[in-house]
Order: sequence, then structure tokens, then C-alpha cells
Amino acid sequence: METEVQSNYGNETMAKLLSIVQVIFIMAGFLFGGVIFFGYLAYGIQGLFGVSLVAPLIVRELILQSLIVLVLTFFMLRANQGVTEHIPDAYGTSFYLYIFMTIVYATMGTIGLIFLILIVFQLLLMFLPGVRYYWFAEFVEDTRPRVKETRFTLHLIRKSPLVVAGIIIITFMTGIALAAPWITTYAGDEMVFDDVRLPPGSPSADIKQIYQYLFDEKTHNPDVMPDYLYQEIEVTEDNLVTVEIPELFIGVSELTTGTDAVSVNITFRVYSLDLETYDSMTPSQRLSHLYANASVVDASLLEYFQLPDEEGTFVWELQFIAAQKTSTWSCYTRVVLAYFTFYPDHIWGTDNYGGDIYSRIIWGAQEDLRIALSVVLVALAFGAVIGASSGYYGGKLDELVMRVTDIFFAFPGLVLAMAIVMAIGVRSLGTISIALMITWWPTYARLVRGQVLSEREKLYIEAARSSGASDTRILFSHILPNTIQPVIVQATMDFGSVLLVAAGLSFIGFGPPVGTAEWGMMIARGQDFILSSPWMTLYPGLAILVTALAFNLVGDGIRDIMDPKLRRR
Amino acid sequence: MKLRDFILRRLILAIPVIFGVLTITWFLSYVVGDPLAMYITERTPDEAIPGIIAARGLDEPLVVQYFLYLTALFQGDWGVSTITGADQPVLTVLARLFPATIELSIFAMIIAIVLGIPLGIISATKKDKVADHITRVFALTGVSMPIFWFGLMLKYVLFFQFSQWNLPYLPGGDRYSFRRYDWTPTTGFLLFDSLVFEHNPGLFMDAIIHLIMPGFCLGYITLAIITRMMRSSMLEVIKEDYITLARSKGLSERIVIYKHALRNALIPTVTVIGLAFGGLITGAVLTETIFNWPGLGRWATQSILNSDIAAINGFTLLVAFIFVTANFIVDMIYGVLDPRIRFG
Repeated sequence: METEVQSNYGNETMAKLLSIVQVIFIMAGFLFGGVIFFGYLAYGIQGLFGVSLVAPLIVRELILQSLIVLVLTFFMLRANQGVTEHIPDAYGTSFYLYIFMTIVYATMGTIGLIFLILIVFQLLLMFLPGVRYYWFAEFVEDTRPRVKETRFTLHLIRKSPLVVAGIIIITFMTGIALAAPWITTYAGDEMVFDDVRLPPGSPSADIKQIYQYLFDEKTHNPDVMPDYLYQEIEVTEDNLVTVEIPELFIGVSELTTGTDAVSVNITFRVYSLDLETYDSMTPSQRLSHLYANASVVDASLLEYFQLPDEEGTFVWELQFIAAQKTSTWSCYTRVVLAYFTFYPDHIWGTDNYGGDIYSRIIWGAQEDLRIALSVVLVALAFGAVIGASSGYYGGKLDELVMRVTDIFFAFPGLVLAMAIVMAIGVRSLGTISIALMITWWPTYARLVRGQVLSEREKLYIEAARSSGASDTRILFSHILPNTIQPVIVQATMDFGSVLLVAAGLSFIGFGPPVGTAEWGMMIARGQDFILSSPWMTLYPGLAILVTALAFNLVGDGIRDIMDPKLRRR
Repeated sequence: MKLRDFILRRLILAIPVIFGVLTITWFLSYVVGDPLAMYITERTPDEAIPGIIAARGLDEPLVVQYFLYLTALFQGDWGVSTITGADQPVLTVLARLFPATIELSIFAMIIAIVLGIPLGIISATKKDKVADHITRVFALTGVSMPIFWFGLMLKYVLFFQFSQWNLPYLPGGDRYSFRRYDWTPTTGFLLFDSLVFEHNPGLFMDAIIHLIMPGFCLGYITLAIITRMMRSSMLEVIKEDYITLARSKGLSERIVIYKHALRNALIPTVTVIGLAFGGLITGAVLTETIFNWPGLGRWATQSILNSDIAAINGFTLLVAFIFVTANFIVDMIYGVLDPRIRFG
């Protein structure tokens, strides 16, 4: 008996620790999200009154993320009410929520990082023996039928070839998007101007110049900028890939002497020596190994030296000799080794600016999947909260929400998104995402509302209500988990639709700036050259088709599998 | 509830939606965007701008501006479109371009219905057979295909490659061969005009040939949606008791499917067809751009590229009205087809 009391005492400390972390988390969420969000709102309101203050770009990008943080924190607050009172099934809800939030915050970059760490910490705390005591056994007991059901669903999925194919394609595309830095041959915005509209598989017609900065400084500090500096350079096989000869560039410019205006003598020498021999020799001995030199007094020194077309070791040496040792002088100094390599082959050809189609498609996968993910997640979270409250509380709120969604449904998706992008006026992928989120949430609000309505009158809700659970608890921990399946199907299929509409938007000219690799933009670029270079259009279009098809296959298949009328046992 | 009351109730419900639509376009162009941009063009002299601001009440409080905006709209003053060259009123341009888009959309819809319903029936009656799988992938491809890309590819193969191979090829754009035929628009509907006013069957055939490619491109998505809807509603209907009864009476499978099941399965499909009509207009934006179709969509795209706010606003409003009307008509048809809804 006594041991049990003791263990319970221990449990409470752990649970309290979890509560404290949760409070910190929620405060951080409201503070951080709120400050940025309302800060931006203030900017916007100022704009209305004619004060032409434009929010800095970083704030405009953060606004969306801060809104997400706010919405998620609100969820968290609701779920945590039960945890602080040690109600077992509240822990279960929190557990699901933590996993969902981990995924969301992982996609959110720097802002998400702090929250990600906190949320993972909470997730770990849930499994500490002290906290586990409150919920884990019951949770496992509760989820057993659900696990069984999920196993059966997985079994059905495995038997459906179309769904399996869809899942494989989605995994493949996501993998490609994540591995983009390693599997692409060009950067997303890289253009090779000599390689305009080359057919697939052709080698580059240009030679790539690589600059290796050996020294690059503008300073007074004698530690960084001594009056005598030297360094070894080694010309290796890598520097001699092409027929072109490597070059060494010396640039000294913007020479300013201090108040005493002394004259400075600048000398640059290249010796065909290695560093060891160089160090062992006196300056006059070195002169017999001089490869090239240049010197100037009180002026800019800008010169190229061609190194010989063979492997070898050199030492470059730069000397500043001022008439007075004590004088301060500074200049912009650069020593650069320029050498040449061949550009990689263009596997799927190039576009009209010389961008590599293959690489741009892979970089584009990153952009497009990110848009689809953020739009669907945010619209889903927002629509679910609104739809659930509307369905559960009914009455005037329900009527209002339904009329508002009616208005949104009066616009075809693309047209409303067009108008929003036009009004915001900034043409970027961020604007497209925001426009699509605004366009998309009513779908989920309607869907969730319908589900909640049908679920609201069921017996287990009555039971929960009569056992004294609050409205929000019933809504978030009983009704929402049971309405999630059709929402998941809809979300899966919407990934495909968002991809298509986003590509359509950037196709008709709402796209991001020219350099950005995005599939719709690539097709838009290709359409003027469709007759002479169809590959510019073909490959990005195939990428969209395959990805959207995969999402639709999975969504369609899962809907059939989940449908109780079609489900065989 | 009588049919008349039902229609009245639906009409009353449509009023807040239309006001909401007006409010949203107002909010987007007046509050988020620059309200002045709707009324001035590059050719407006600088001295005239204060006058325009005063005349349009752009220096009034927002609430007053909202009512001024609504008044202007109802008086038929939708702003001035700059991209047509002569600074025409938006409403005039809309009226001129509307028939081309509607003609294309109706043609696309006909293609979708004629192909979609049989495909859906085949898919449902041959469930989980090869025919079903092929039809499903075909339908899903339609939903997952970027319509602008599909159009470009169709154009590349059917127009360019076929002409390269000296095969009979389809025209790559435009409504008719304007070098061969003369046409002064009377109603604006080319198919109608060519027969009734121009008495020119050659022009009619030419117009049909020009419609095939954009029509199929635009109709493919709707075709896919109709096929899927037809399949699922057919699957549900087949399980009903009265179908079992019809079968047990010894009727042939053909009569059971086409006479008993099809009629009932058509009801949800009709809804989808109505809703898809609005989607067709959206698709027209992209299709018209590709096939150089002189309709609303191409005009909207050009307005976007030239930041012609008034044009975009007008286009958005018009499309929303079409959408609301289509939904209304669907509700009506639904009410007539299925008495349960009227009385529910």
C-alpha cells in the first residue's frame, strides 16, 4: 500500500515536469507566433491608412509560419487541459497531436526548429515511466481494435496493385526531392548561356570556369593583411581537365593610404618552387626561379598570369612596401586561381536560357511538393477546426460558416486563387501557397462538418457527455479522431490537385521569378518552343502527371478500401 | 413543399452568396490591391487622376466606397480594360468574348458526357476486371493531367507531327480559318451563325474541326469526373433490392443495366455534370491560352500578364455568377429528378 502511494508520488513529479514543459511550449507558441503575426497585421493596417510602410521580406515569409504556429498552439492548449488534470484519454489525444506537430514543424525551417526540439522533448516525456503510468496501458487497450482495423486495411492495400504503385511513386518522388543536392548535375537556377535548347543527352557546348579564391580581403588589420604574404598553389589533374590553361589572377584596387599619404609599392611574384624550397631560399636565390611578376606604385594592380599546361607546384608572393612603416593603408586584394572544367551532359536537354531540364525538374520537385504539403496541411488544420466547431455547436455559427463556404465555393479554385495573387501583388511561390490555402480551406470545413454532424448524435458521445466531459474535450478527443478517415482520403487526393493548380497558376504568369525551378514555370517557358524543342515541355509535364496521378491512385484506392459498403471481410 | 417554394428558397439562399462574391472581389481589389488601378490606364493624363479619385469616391471612408462600388456595378460600370488597346469598358469586352468560351465549353461538355457515361457503365459492370482497371487509370490520368500540358502535347502531335508526316492534321489554334472564310459575328456563336446567318456549311465544318482539339483537351477532366461518378453510383445502384428483383424476374442483364439501373445511377451524375460546368470555365482559361482561342480565358490571361485589375475583377465576377447559376440549375434538376430532396 505504502509503496503504491510512494510510486504515485514519484509519478506526479514527472507529470508535473511534463506540464511545465507544455506551459513553456504554449507560451512560446503564442508569444512567438503572436508577435510576428500581429506585428505584420500592424504593418497591414498602417498600409490601409496610407502609410506606405512595406514589411521587410523576411516578415512577410514569417507571417504564414507564425499563423501556423498560432493555430497549432491553440490545438495544443485544448489537448493539454486534460493532461494537467491527469485524464487518461487526454494523453492519447496529445500523443497523436505531438506526432502531427512533429511532422509540421519539421517542414518549417528555422522557426520550427525550436518548437521541434520542444515537441520531441514532450513526446519523450510522455514515455517516461512516471507519465506513462497515467495513460499508456489504457491507450494500448483502446487502440487495439483500431490497430487490428489498420492491419486489415494495410492487408487490403497490399492486395491493390494501383495503390501500391501510387505509394511507390510518391516515395520515389519524395526521395528524389530530398536527395536533390546529390543527384542533380546543375544548381536550380544555373544557366549555361551557350547551351540554349540542346536536345536530350547532348554534351554542353560551353566550358565551365571555376574560381578558387586564394585570398580575398579588404582591411586595415595587419594580422589579416600583412605587408608580405605568400602561399603554395598546386596545379593538379583536376585543374587541367580541358584544353584551356589555368590562370592566376591578382587584383589590388582601391588603395587608400592613411593621413600621411605615403606611397606604397606593390609587387606580385609567382615562383615555380614548392613551399619547402621557397622557405629555405633567400629572396635573391628565389629570383632565378621566377615564373612571372608584376609591380606597381600607388595604383591598382590587375593582371592575369597563365600557368603552364602541366602539373606542377608554384608559390605566389605579394609584397607591399610602404615608404613609412608606421603608416596605415588598406586595399581590396584578391588572388584567384581560375581553371576550367567541362559542364556535365544535359540528360534531358536544356531550356531557352540554357538551364538543365533534368536538374531543374528535381529541384522543382522540392518546390512543388513543399507547396502541396504546406497548402494541404494548413488548409486541413484551419478547415478542420472551423468545420468541427460549426458542426458541433450548430445554430447561428453553423449557418454563418456555411454561407461563407458557399461564397468560396462560388468561385472556381483557379479563378479565386488568381484574384488573390493579383491582389497581393508579389509574384512568388509563397504568394501562390497563401492564395491556395485561402482557396482550399472551405473544402475541409464542409467535409469535417458533415462528418461531425453524423457523429454527434452517436451513443458514445452521449456517454462521454453524461460522464461530464466538456464540449471541447468531446470535440477534440472523441469526435475528431473518428472523422479523420474521409479527411485523409480527401487530403491525399488534394495533394494532386494542389500540384495541378499551382502549376497552372505559374503557367499563366503568376509564377515565381525567372530563375526558380518550378514545373509549371518550366512548361510555360517551353510552350513557345514546343515545335522545335518539345523536351522543354514534355519532361516537366510528365513529372506533374506522374506525381499527381500517384496521389490520386492512392486516394482513390484508399477510398474504396475504407468504404464500409465495398469493404469485404 | 411545392416546386415553386423550393425554387424560391434556393433563390433566396443565392442572394447572400452573390453579395459575398461582390464583397470578396471588392475586398481583393480595393483593400488589398490598389483601387485606383481599376479606373486609370497608361493613357490617363496625370492631371485627370485627382478628378477620378474624387468622382469614384476613393477618398471616402471604406464603407462609403463599398456602396459606391456596388452602385457602379449595378449600373453596369465595371471599370475599363486596358489591354484591348482602345480602353473598352469591361462589360463590353465580356459580352464580346463570352460566346466563344461558352461554345467551347458546351462542345467539351458534350464530348465528356458522350464518352464518360458509357465508360462509367463499362467500368462498373466489369468491376475489378482488366476493363475496369484500364478505365480507372484512364479517368484518374484525366484528373491528374495538367490541362495546359495536355493541350500542348496534343498540339505537338496532332498538329505539328501529323503535318510533318503528311497526314491529315488538325488545326493548331483559332476558331476558324480566317484566311479562307469571312465571318461577321451576329450572335457570336460561330456554329450557330455560320448556319443561320451566313448560310455557309463550309464554315460550319471548319469551325467543328477547329473545336475538336481544344474541346477534347478541355473535356478530358470532366470526362474523367463523370466516369468516376458514374462508376461509383452504378456500383451502389446495382446492389439495391429492385435490381435483384429485376434480375430474379429473369430480365436480361442488358435490360437490367440500361433500363433499371442506369436511370437511378444518373441522378448523382447529373449533379456532377452541373458542377463540372463551372470547372470547365476555369479550364478554359488555360486551354484558350494554348489554342489561341479568342475567348474570356485568353483575355483573362493577357490581363494578368499586363496587370489589368479591372479585367481580372470583371472576369472573376462573371465566372462566379456562372458558377452560382450552374449550381442553382443543378439544384433545380435535382429537385425535379428526386422528389425526396424537395420534400426533405
